[in-house]
Amino acid sequence: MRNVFIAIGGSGTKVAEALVRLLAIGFPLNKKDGRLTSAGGTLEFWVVDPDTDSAACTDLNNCIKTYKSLEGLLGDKWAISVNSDVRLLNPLDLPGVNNQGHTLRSLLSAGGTRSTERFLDIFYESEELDIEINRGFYQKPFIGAAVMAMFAESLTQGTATGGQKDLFNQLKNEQANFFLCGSLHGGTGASGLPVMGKFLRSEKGESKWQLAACLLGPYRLPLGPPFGSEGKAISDELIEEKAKFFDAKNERSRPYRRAYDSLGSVEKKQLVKQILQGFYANPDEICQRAHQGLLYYHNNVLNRRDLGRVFDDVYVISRPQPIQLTEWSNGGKSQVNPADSAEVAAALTSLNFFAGSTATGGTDYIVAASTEEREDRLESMYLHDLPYYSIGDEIIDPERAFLASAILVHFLSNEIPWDVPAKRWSGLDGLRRRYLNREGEKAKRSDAQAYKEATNMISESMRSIVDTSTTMGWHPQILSLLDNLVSKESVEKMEKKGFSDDEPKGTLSLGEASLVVSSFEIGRWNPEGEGNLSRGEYLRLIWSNLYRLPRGKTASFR
Amino acid sequence: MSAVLLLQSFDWLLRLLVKDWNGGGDAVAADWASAAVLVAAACVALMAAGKWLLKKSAPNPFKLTWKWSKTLYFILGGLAPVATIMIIAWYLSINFHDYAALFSGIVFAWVIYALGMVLVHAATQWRRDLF
Repeated sequence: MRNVFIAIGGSGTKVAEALVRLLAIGFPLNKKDGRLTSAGGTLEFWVVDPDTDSAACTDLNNCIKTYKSLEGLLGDKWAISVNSDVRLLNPLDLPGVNNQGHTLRSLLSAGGTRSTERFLDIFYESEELDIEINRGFYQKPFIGAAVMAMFAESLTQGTATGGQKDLFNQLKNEQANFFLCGSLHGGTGASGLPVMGKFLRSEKGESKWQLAACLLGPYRLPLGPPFGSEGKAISDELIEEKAKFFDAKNERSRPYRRAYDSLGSVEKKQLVKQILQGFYANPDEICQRAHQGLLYYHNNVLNRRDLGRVFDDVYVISRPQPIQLTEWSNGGKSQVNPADSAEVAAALTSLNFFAGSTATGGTDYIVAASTEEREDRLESMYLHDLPYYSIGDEIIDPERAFLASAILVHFLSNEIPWDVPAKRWSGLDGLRRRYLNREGEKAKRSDAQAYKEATNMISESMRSIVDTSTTMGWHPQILSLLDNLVSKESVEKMEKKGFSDDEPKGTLSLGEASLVVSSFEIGRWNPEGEGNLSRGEYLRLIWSNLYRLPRGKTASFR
Repeated sequence: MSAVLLLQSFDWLLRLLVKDWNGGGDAVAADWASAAVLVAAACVALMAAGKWLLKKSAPNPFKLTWKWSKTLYFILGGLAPVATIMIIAWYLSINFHDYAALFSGIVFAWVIYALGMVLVHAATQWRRDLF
């Protein structure tokens, strides 16, 4: 099965990153030999974004690199095989005569003949036609929609580059799942997602394709612009005067300075001009834009007369009270937005889709963000606030999946005497059996090193999702609980109670998920006749068994 | 009966243990050797029971796993009680007045004890701790 995650714009790319992290942690997508796993099939990422320098895309590439290292250490049986090459689809990279530049005017000028300009003036202001759009569409979907429509047409009309044509022809013969993700209120996502969705639906024909979309509502608010034009005509003098705002002595400019300082002198001037012209993400308009976006989807995308139901499933993720960002940026490398709990919720909906499950109830929208009971949950989610997803008839609780991964990391790091020859191990007969042959000790040393590196990566993936110093939307207690579970602190809880009582001493818990297991019990896992399990398979066995263990007493940490 | 057979098979050792073997001390030598065997056997049983208790109460695989060196030190640790009990037995018995016999007896008991411990390990799951 070929799974394709199409990230449209910066928000979609952040969700793709969260998905890679969840898969690295061990979140499953299917069952094999009765075990929960994500191995089997492939996953690839396409990023549709004119902002080819975006920090989100760089982060995604780095995250996939780490994932591939993990795959190198554990083999292909721990998690799904992810294509290491992110396919960048730049909507400005149009074939033929339209590939003229990075402004709407140049793209729509019919190969430089200027014959279309009279029509363009009817629809667009001259600033909108002349603004550089290679760093996104500045939350103006009406700019992006024209570009995206041309881009989609270039894909269907056979004018696309050879590689892209081959790609779609090849895909038509395969069973593929396409998951599109982008924001409702931004520029690239809001304009690109419906266009790409309609394109794929029209291309589907008789192919066995499944299409789903995840629409991200306003889950965080950008800072407002640093200044306005105050009705003045935009001149070089005004630009120079406004540029003084970014002076290091101006305390008010602190949240804006990083974005400004990262630019060259020409780009700095352009940025000031863009702000004066109103080309920035306006926090006051975001909710209204999302509302309009939803209406548009409802009326023009979800059920079309010509294409029928465009998406098989649609998920909407939002937050009733968006979190305020503390740093400003206008796209490009400097737009380093922290990861967010809403992106993880969105990534879980993609897991639901790739696992072959449909949205519960068959309704058009599934709102997955949880905001029940407590006020502060609006800004700080717990892992148990995340949506569940299904694999067949089995419900996957994300918090429990985190717990299983944390105990797995702890077990491999703290419960196995790797420095002792495996033939002397006691209480670890499941794993020991793998190292009893002639080359066993050598294999053990190699495994020990690989597991050490792999567990570091898994642990780091978990931390990077919930670490409140680098992410938003999580309760800070989650990280300390996770760190505690992974550390030697858990050793005592996994010890057996006493001389003749093999029950473990304590309950391992992470929020509302908990389980009771002793290190001896885990040590026994590795069924007879499967002594040659690969590293990834062994970890999967442990993970799957841990996940399915009976629940312990629910520990209350609140 | 089997103890007697065992002792007979160690005839050369008995001669070593008690100097006046040929001078009529064979009964003494046999008693002393029997004492050494008994002490060694008792210490093997004691140490095996101790190890069983330690293993049974190990709370996790780390503590349940014994390195070769740990096992060796544990077995060597049993030599002290063997020697102590032999000295006490020698001191309390008026028949055992020969210092050389004492040292020979201790060495003999140590050998029997060590053999016993090795056998116990070889015959049980503990073989992984030693071999």
